[in-house]
Amino acid sequence: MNCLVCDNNITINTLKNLFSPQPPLLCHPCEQHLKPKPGNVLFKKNEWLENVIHRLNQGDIVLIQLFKVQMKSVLQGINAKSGHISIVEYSDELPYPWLKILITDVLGDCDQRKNSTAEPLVIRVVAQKKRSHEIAII
Amino acid sequence: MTDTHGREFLENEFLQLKKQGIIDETKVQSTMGITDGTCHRCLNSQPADFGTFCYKNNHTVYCRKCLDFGMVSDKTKLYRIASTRQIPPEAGVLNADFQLSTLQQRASDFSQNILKAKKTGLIWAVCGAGKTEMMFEPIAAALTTGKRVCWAIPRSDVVIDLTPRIKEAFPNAKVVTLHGNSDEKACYGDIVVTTVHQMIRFYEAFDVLIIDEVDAFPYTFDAMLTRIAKRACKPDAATIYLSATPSKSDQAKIKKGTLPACIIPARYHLFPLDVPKYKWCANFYKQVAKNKLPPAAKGWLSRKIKEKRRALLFVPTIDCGLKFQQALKAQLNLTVDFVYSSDPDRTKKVAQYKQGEPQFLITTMILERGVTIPNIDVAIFAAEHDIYEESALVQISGRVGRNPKWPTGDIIFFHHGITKAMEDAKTQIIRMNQAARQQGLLKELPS
Repeated sequence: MNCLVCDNNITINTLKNLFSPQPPLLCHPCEQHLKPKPGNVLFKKNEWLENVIHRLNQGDIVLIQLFKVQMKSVLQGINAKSGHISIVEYSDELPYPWLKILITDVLGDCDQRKNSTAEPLVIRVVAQKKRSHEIAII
Repeated sequence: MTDTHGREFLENEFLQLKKQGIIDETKVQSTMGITDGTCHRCLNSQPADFGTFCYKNNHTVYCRKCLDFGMVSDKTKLYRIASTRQIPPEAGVLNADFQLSTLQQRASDFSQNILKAKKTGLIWAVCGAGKTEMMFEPIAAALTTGKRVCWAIPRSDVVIDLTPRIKEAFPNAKVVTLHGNSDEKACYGDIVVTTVHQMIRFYEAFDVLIIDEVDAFPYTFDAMLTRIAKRACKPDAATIYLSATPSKSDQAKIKKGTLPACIIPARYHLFPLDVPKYKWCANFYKQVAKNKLPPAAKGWLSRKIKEKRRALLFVPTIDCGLKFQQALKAQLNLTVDFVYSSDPDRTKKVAQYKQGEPQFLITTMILERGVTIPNIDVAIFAAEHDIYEESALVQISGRVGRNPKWPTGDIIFFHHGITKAMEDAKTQIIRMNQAARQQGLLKELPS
């Protein structure tokens, strides 16, 4: 089992990883760089994460797995707070639309479109946050 | 104009070139990027190195190993263009104003025989033996007979350093340089001087492949590089490896006789290699972290200041180098530059040091090989560190005494315990000197 980012062997050295139903995606040193952030930005920005985003832009789509759990919890949080429907507008125009693929994967669990008649809350999902009503990876 | 001879293009690149009318479609061969679990660009077949995703109901498999050079997937094709360009015989005219030594001539003749026989061979020549010059005659012979040559080096610094020498030696040949920041990536070359990574752009393009510093990182650590180097050459191409410190496996092949080799145990100026000395200095990192210098190191540096000797000071890590820099300021009131891989001024600092200023330069392993600076001494601090393998220590020791005017210098390993790598490196240097002495090759140093 190798790390998704640095390809080094993953040593399982925590109970959390040992009993996790999903195999770990990252080795311990890489995991240290992936620090969740409260609010609508998923992770703290750093050089390592910028490199991950660069690889995603090149088309290494398997890396979206790193963001799924956090993205799901942020979207669910917005739904719960506002009681509104999350309509997600994604705007990547790259040859490999990884944000779109990530949202499509995550939305299955979060989208409450069918059950609500409330005014939609429009959210853009972007790699780096620039304005309000954005969910950003970093 | 974009070169297409012996090149391989991704689908989007190919379509763009076709639109521009650059492609001669009669020479094009196409293949799917990935079939039967193998990437046809980097020849990766490890399932873990492939990624998959689903978009608009399309399930795509792509290769993660060579993704840095653009995506190869099972939905897109690779386009290969045959190398048919004729090399004019005058490309092989050699402009050399030096005479090869007997030893260099021996290696040069060995290489020419390998090229004629279209085989693979290794030149194991000590640091400062003049490996580059040994290859000029074989390259000239290859070009004269219409053979295209690739000189591949694992490190981009060395590629940049080497190109002007090759251009000067072959004024009538088209020489192109390929590395990550090169602006000649699309140009044609009779001689292509390149990092091994950039060879991924070629398919059956070269008749002669020279791999310099074959034991250097990352070539020996990444199997993909070996595969792409092989694939960039024609099936009957000749390959010559150059190294001062071949890997254990290559040494074993030489012993068994499965890898033809030419061993050059002496430098071109025929003075012996300097043998490193050991000096215990306790835990170097701990001391510099406290802004102190080990007394042994302080004494050595003070002596060099007094004698006005220039020295390269090797440290194992960037952090250690930064702390050492501060300790030198605090203890000896010395302001010393520090170069490391991510230093933006790295090229400028090294160029300055080569020109004679300043007296000392702290460096990580980036100056381990491929650098020639006359009349210097070398100190390795924390020589017990894992990063200093046998080959690295031999290469660093080889920075000393390269110039016939100053054929000797001081090499010192400051350590906190002698490692096997240190012992092996010292033994290798002593053995090479012994071999050269037995063959009656060495001049003795004036006492």
